[in-house]
Amino acid sequence: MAGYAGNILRVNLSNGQITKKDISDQMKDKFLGGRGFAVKILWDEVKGVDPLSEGNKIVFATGPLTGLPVPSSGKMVIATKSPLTGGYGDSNIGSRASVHLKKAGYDVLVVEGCSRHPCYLYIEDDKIQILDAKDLWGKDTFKAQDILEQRHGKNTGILLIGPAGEKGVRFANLISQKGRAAGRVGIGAVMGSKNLKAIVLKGSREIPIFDEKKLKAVGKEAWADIKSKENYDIWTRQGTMMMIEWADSISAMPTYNFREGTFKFAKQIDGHSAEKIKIGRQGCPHCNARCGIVVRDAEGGNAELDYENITMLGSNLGIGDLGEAAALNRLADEYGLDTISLGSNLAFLMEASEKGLIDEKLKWGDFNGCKRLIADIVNNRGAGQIVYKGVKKASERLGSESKDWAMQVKGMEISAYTCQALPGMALAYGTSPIGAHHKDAFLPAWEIGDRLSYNKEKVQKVIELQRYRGGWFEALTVCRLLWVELGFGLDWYPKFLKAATGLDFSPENIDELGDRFYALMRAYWVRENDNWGREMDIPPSRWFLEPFTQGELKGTSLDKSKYEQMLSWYYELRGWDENGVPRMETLEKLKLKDVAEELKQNGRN
Amino acid sequence: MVEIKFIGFIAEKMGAPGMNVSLKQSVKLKDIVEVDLSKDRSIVLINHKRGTLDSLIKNGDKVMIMPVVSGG
Repeated sequence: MAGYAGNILRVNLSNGQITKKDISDQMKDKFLGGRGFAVKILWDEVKGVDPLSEGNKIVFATGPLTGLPVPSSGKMVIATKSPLTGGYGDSNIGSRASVHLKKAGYDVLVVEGCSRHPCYLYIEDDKIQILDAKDLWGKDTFKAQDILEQRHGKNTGILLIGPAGEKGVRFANLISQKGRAAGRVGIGAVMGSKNLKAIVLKGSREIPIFDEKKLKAVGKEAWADIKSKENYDIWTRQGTMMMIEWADSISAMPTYNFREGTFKFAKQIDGHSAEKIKIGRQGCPHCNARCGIVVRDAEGGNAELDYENITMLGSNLGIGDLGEAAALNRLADEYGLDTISLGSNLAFLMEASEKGLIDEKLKWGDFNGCKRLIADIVNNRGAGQIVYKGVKKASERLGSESKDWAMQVKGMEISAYTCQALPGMALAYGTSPIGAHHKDAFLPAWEIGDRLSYNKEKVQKVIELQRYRGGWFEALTVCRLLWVELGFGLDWYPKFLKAATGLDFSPENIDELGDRFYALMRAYWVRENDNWGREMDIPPSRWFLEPFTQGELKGTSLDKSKYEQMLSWYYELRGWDENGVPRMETLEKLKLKDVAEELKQNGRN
Repeated sequence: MVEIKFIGFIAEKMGAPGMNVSLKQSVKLKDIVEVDLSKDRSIVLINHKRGTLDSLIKNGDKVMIMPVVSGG
């Protein structure tokens, strides 16, 4: 089928075996690409294993639009059984690596097994080599990127881990091009456990296109449409950093470990301040609205900023100096640490210190203390040992009431929106299929006009967004930001897909695709967690028990029983039972009968 | 006094981050804020409740006009 390279490449690091196999039409029909391919492969092949053992796999999956001449088609989904959560985990990344993987002839790369020595993968069309990485091991992601570029040329796509991944920090990530990240769920730790430092990709093949003339014409029209949008200018100047002023204005900005939603130094770290120290931009291939803002940080380094990084490493830690927050951002990228989880873990330690639960003396806003702790986390020493496995495990270790303010769901730290006054967003976090992340659904813009209501419309909106953001965009593996941030219409994407592949996709098809992904991701969580229960879809107690003490929404917090009601509606609308497990008939309707049978055999349904 | 705050591209369109206006009587927001906004690209909040440029405002109200966003 056109639009696809047509192959899955598997590299087994234990025995060096390399295999290539066609992707079946049935796989394309049911799962389309990206996240769909990834969750199907993990469901079939990664069962009951320790995420850091040889049995885990990492799936690098592109989609049918990746690498084609349409806007923002430079992404891929990277998935694995998460060492942070023990459940389904994925993260997407915009990098030259996505385009090179597909142009090398592969829609999907699956890395299996475990190398005995540090290695890296070199893939250039049919040439696939497992090379020695002794000289790279221990190097940060910026230095290692430079070495690999010198060795293999700049016209390559490189994905790599830093010391954090090598040493198994559970929220270690994967970095590309000095600042692009597949940030969440601990993919870096899985790569590290396999002794795999990097993947270097170079592809030179043409990707077959169903109607090339049409695709080029519609792509050109689409890029022009993007440039004509009224907020194109500020978007390309500030990127997601423009969100800081927005989130602060509606009391949604994570501040002092999600205690508050507004920060008195917000102006000092916002998009306007970023423009003053900006030195360049980064972005994904095939994007003409690049949103990575590169600034000179407090230590003279170059840091690629976005909203999540700067709030989690700024306001959430009480740091009101943009250069300092940027320096922590860059340090995280060099070490290969997820900035969101890192910000949450540092804030957890600050609060633990404030409450006298740890010996370490660490005050809010302590930049040098944070730098020291980051090194301690990477090296699993001192107070770093406490949070090395994330805030959930840290709170189990510290005990007391620390689980109330360990800001996570399903073991993954919550991304940068605090929800004391956003019940719909709290549900989006609660039901996010990888642990608490905003990638799949973001409600604040939709619910702030009626923010303290708990109703079925909000639940329906969460599902609608999950279908598009978590299903459609993650399958096509294109960026979702153009849609809302710039007002680039959803009607473009079926046109792109038709011209690329010949496939027709109606809104009903899109809904069904998203629902299938959701049922399968949920089934994965249920199968892999002996203790699965609906409490895994509930955010931490802080949001229910500790109202804001500042700002215009002072005194507001979530209502637990009303949240539970929304969760029950969510399950009902999805066709899942009261414990959040997909019902047999739901799975069968979504053409997942085999999944239904396996869950039944395991006594889970 | 009515406090009106503009965020993002709307502030750039208005040429200011906000304005304070003292009113003798209730008026429609659009009588004070003269801007062409498409409804699906912007949000009008009046005292944290959804409004429109046609909403009536009075002294003491806090208004925010902001872009629609989808998360960082």
